[in-house]
Amino acid sequence: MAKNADQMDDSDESLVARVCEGDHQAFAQLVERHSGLFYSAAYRMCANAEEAEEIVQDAFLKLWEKPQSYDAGKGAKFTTWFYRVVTNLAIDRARRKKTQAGPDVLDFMADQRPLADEVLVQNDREAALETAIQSLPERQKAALNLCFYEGFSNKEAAEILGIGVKALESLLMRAKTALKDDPLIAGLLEKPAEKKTG
Amino acid sequence: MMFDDLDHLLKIRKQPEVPEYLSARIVAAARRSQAVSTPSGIAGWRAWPQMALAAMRVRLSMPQMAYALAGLVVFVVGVELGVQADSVSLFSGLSVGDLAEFMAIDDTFVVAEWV
Repeated sequence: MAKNADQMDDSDESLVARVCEGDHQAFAQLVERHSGLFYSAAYRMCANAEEAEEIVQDAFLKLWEKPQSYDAGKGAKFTTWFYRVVTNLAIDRARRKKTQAGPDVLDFMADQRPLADEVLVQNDREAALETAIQSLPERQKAALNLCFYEGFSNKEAAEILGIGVKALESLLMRAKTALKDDPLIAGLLEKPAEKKTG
Repeated sequence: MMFDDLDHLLKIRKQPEVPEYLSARIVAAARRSQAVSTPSGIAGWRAWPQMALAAMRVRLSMPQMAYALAGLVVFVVGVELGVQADSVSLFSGLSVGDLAEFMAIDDTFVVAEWV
C-alpha cells in the first residue's frame, strides 16, 4: 500500500529520488514536464535555438548521470536548483564563446550590430529589444531573465545565481541602466520631455 | 509606437518556441549515455567493443576511424612479419620448429605457409 502511495507521488522531488535509483521512466517524466520551461530560459540567455537545445540537454544529462547532486534536504525546490544548473551552463558557454572568439572578432561583431535607425526602419522592435538584451553582460542578463521573464522573486533569483539579494538588485539596476542607454532601446522609449508635452 | 517606460517595453519580448522533439531527444540521449557508461546494459564480452566503438564514434569521424583501423592492421601484420623473421609467431609464441611439431607437419611446410 505504502509502495502504491509512493508510486502515485509524482512531485519533482520524488521523481528525482526515483532517478537516483536509475528509474528512466521517472527521468522521462521530469524531462517531459520541464524541458519546455528550461529551453525557454536557455534560449533567453543565448538567443540561439540550437545552443539552447544543447544547454538543456546537457543539464538533463548531468541530472541523469549525477542525480545525487540535487539534495532535496537542503530545502531548494527542484526547479529552482535546475534553473541554477541551466543558467550556469549558459553563462559558462557564453564566456567560453567570448574567449574563443577573441577581441578582434568581438569588435567585428559589434560593428555588425544593426544601427538604431535601421532597426526602427524595419519596425522590428522585438529584434531591437533582443539585440540589446543579448549585449548585456551574462550575469546582468541572467538576473533580468529570472526576475522579468521567469517570474522569480528577487530572493529566489539571488538564490539561483548564488548571490545576495542586494547584489541581485544591483545587477538588475545596472542591466536596466545599460538598456536605457542602448541606442536601440533609447529609440523606442519616449523621452521625458515628450512625456510632458504628450 | 513609443513605450513610456522600460518595463513596458520589456514585455514585448518574444516568447521562445519550444521544439516538439526536444523531450524525445533528451530522453534518447540519456538512454545512449546509459548504454555507453554501463556495460551491464549489453550482454557479456560484447559490451566492451561496443563501448570502445561508441567512444570512438564520439571522438573520431568515419575517415579517421578507417585510418586508425588501417594503421592498427598494418602495425599488427608488420609486427607479426617482423617476429616471423626470428621464426617466432607473435600470437602463438611458438617457434617454427615447435609449431611444426605441435601440428605434426614439416618445418619447411610451416615456413612456406607463413612467409
